[in-house]
Amino acid sequence: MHMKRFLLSSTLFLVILLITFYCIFIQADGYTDPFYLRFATPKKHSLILGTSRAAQTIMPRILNQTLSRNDLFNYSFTVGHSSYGPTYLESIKRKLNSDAKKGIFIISVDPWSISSNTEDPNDSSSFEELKLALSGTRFVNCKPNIQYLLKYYDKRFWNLIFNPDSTMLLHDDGWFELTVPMDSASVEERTKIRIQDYRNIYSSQYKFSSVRFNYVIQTIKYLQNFGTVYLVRLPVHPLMMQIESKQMPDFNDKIQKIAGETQVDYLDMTDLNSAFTYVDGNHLHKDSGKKVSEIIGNWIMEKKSDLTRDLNVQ
Amino acid sequence: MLFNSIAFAIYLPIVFLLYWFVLNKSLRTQNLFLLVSGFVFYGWWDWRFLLLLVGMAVSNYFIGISIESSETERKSKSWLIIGLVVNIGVLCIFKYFNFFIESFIDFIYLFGYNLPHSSTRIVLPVGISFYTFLSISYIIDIHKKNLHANRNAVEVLLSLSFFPIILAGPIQRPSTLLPQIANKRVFEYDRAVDGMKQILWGLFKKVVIADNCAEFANQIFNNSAAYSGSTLLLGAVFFAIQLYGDFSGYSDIAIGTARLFGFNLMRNFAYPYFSRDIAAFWQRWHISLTTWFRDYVFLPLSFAISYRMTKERILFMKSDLFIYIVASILTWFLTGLWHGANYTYIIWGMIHGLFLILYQWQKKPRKKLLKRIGLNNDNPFVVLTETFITLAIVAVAWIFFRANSIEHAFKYISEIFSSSLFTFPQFHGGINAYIALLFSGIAILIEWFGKEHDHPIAGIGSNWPKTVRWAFYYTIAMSIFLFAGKEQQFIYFQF
Repeated sequence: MHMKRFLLSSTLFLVILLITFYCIFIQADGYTDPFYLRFATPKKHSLILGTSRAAQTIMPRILNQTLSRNDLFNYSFTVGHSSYGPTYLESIKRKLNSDAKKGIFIISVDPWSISSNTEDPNDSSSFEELKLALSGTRFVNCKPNIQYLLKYYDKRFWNLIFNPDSTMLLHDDGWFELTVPMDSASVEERTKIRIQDYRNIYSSQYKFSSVRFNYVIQTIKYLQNFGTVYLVRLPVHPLMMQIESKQMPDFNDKIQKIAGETQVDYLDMTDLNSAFTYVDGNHLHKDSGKKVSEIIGNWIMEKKSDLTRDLNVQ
Repeated sequence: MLFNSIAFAIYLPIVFLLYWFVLNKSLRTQNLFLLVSGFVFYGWWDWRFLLLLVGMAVSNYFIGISIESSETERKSKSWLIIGLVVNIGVLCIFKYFNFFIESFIDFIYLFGYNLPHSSTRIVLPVGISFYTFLSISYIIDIHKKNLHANRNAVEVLLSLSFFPIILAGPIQRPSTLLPQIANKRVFEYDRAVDGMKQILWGLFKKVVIADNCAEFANQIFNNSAAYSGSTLLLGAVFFAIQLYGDFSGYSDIAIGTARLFGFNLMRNFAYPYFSRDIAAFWQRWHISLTTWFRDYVFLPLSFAISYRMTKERILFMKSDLFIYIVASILTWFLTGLWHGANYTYIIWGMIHGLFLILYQWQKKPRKKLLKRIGLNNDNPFVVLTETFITLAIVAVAWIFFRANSIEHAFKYISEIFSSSLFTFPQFHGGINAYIALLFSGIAILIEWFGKEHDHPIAGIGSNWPKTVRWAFYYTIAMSIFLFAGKEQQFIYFQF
């Protein structure tokens, strides 16, 4: 009798709590953090992949407009989370809708996404991403994504309801919009710090990883079962370009080789480095991101037309 | 397994339901189940150190029987010594090996010799200081004939590895736990409900108070050279709150959990920060440890010294005071050393020892002074002043507890008492710092109004309508969920 009463009261209390927790969890949205919404949206037919450069630059809605589609989704994270490797590929497989047939996959590449800062750059068991959200989030398409919120959300849960971070917004299509002061002094300061970090710290820490390089190929081959894959190298600040050219002088050759082997088209936009605005020497400003997205969209259209023409000729 | 983890939230109801519904027919099976559950709980952290725990418990089981069944007192004492060597030896190897080696190297360096530093780093098994002390009290109590050596291995092993207390106490002596283990437990609604309340309050103190304060205490202590005196003072306050919230919170969860299974454990904290003197503080802080040291170190040492004392006065003081001083110094040296393999803990212990000695010495002069100025002992001004002084002493001593080195501690304290003490504290805190301070203030108020009870929310709301009472508990639970700070390991796990 006493036990029954205890169990009933405890269960009722717990149920009330769990319902409240659930109601709070469903408040999580694009303001929650830079990654959550990517794990809280349905599986997708077309994906944009890469690191934070791709996350902040490539706008799915612009591409969708240009390509007359509605299914592109930006599934890019950061160089720590989504450098190419087994973890990222596994997560891509979870995010991809297996019904996809004519999907479009834009793989953004740069020297850092095929490098590793571990002692042995080819030891995949010590890759940084194994400790991060992409590795530990099994379910990438449920809302609310309680597993992610409990394990990886690093603020207090009251932040889900109050005090949203208004400087950042992760859109439903996966594009990460960051709003920072763009006066010349702020931009210069951020650029200086970022370039210094890359030059003085990351250049020596990051080394080319043949494992990651092979996983770019594996990722392409996997995605080719579901649609068309395109390789893109996004524009970077000229100072960053200098660092990258020194870091991996044969980067373009490597990517051309992949493109040739896998028969995918490769767009290298680094010729246009000086034409755009950067927030910190590493990431494009959203206005420039829009232009870059349009360029990519038009290039894809062109490639599609070429393919159609070739097929007609045959 | 941490108490504030999802794993424990799943583990506890499963163990609870199996314990009361499936295995309650046989006491033996119930005890065996609790024992195995305890091994799962402990082994969740690292199964290799589970072997150490089991090995220690089994050894002490046999040593206890050997002590009791010895034909002569001498043989019994020999077994006791073997048991002490085993227990203290294991503790020394795992906890103090690195410290002793480094101290030896530093000592030799004073003579101009440079020995290479050891690259061997022994991992400290969680809870070793606690279960070693359980084992020591078991065999000593048997030797002193305060406890019968139980032949039931499951019961003995369970008393030495009971899961709620195995990681960080309370140090519930087998002499008080074994009778509860050996007798059938009956589910009591009030005890279970009170246990749940205590768990809730413990979680609040740990997750909301301690973990939030830890963020700022760590920030300030880890970069103390960059901060003003006022900020360092605030850092010391944050740490004092963190330590209390963390440790008393853990104890509350442990005691509350045990109550769910029908066990009554000793109280471990009795609102120590409301103490008006250092002696009262140590009657209320980590009670299980201080009583352990009192019963197994201080008192035997005092008796041993007084037995050899022939004179009434030594070194210009009465022999009683001399005995008290010597026994206190040694006891507090060991208390400090128990807390950690670092000189900072030893200094911390000695500071408390010194103030306890001063407290004993000042009793009579204080009485005379109060009489002379016409204030009685319960005068609010006197109470407040003394409470404040006690808190200040404790908080300054905590600085040694938290600092990385003795040098760091002294620098920290000297910077507090500099001219920058009178500036506004500045650190990276934002709204989270205000949340930490706000909740700390709320917790202090709740503890003040509930201080007549074992835990403050035991009595709060007992006269309220059920819905209001539930709303109160719901608010605490929601605070835990919404305002939980970044997860920090329980501080006492490192001991």
